[in-house]
Amino acid sequence: MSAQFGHKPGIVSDPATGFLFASRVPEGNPSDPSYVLPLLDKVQKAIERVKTPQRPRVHSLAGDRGLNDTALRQTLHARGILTVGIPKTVEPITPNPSPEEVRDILTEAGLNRQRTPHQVHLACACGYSRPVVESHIASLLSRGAGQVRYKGHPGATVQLGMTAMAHNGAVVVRIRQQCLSKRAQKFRRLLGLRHRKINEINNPKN
Amino acid sequence: MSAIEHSFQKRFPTTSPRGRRPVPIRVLFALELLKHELGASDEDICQRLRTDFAVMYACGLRDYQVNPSQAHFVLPETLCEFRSRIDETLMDELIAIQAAVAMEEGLVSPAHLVIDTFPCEQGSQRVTDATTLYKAQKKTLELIVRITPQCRSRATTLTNQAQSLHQEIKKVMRCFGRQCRGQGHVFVKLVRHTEQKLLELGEPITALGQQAQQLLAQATALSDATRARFAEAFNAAMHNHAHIRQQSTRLIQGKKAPPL
Repeated sequence: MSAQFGHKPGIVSDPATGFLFASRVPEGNPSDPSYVLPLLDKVQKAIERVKTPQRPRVHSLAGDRGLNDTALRQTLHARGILTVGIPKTVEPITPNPSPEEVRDILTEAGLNRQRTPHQVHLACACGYSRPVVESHIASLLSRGAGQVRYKGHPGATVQLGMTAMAHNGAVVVRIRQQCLSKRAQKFRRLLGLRHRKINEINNPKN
Repeated sequence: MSAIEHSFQKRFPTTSPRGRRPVPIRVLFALELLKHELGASDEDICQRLRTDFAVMYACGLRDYQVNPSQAHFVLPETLCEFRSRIDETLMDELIAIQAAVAMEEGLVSPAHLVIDTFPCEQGSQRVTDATTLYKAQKKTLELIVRITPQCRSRATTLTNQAQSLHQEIKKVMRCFGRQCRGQGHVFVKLVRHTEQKLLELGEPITALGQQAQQLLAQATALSDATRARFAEAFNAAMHNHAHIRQQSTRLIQGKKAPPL
């Protein structure tokens, strides 16, 4: 496909804060499910760079109905990733599933021994939400991702990558300054992400 | 930042210690990020590096006018060159480094992710009278450069003239692009000024085209079919160029364009 028609970049982000873990600008206009695995591979590469003893893992993935593909779901389940965040119908995802529903979700995914009910609850709460994703995209568009100014596909990759990095920089500053929504703060708390009081002296007062 | 510098060092090792010291990666990288954050052009951000203390600070320059590597003076061309070295693999690596650092510091977690796509358009060229004139001139010159060496082996003078003229008009258009980006708008005055320059520079194009047509008519090395095809392309390009040139001349004189 010629570049004159534009591009369709894909992003993978943290729904709570909007931090982008990876971005991809494919050539042409491929189907939405074809974005998922390359993006997840990029996230995995980023995770492999983490030097802490407990490496983080991807528990669940959310997306719109464009990602509702049986083969993709099976591949994600095989990787130990819940797909409850990808809707199958136009009905909204239940944010608070009952214990029976949680059991059904885990059984269907074949992840009974890998994922806990708590993680399923969080995955349901992190299910696809258009306003959340739109806010991430809007942030990228405000940084000039809406119109590729560099030449060709390599230019589009560089521009989107730099935009994503600039966006991530702003997100990190927001997290450090605790300028997060109540929802994001709650998610961070539930995920066990600590708020480091970098601007406060933690030494004893006396 | 050190991880990013290491990554660049690994990919682009310094082969020789000689020559002027390079502009630090940190400065170029910060400029590139700030460019997107502030919505500035290459020229704007490079100018702000010289005048804006906040930009200098963000680029890691704490001292003013004492850095022997002259990192305060980054040309837009240098920034462009830096960008052209970044490919998809390196870009992915840079984002991965950033994400890994954020995860290590406990700021973000990849436990629950959301994926989506969004459309973005390829930046269109500004369609102005100056651009149309430039395209007509460019097409004619490109044809001269392509066809003349095939007509006669010693047609280098004509080819060189066409090439150097092409370079000159390219410079004018680059200047036009920079001015538009700097001001954020396309002003009619600017378009007319550029058209004027293009018309002045492009005056020899008609003569060069005629010479090339003569060469083509005398070319015995080419088959009749090829010669006819080239002649047709040439005639069309010359005709279009003459028509657009006439339009532009009217426009810069303050007259309306003739009806189509």
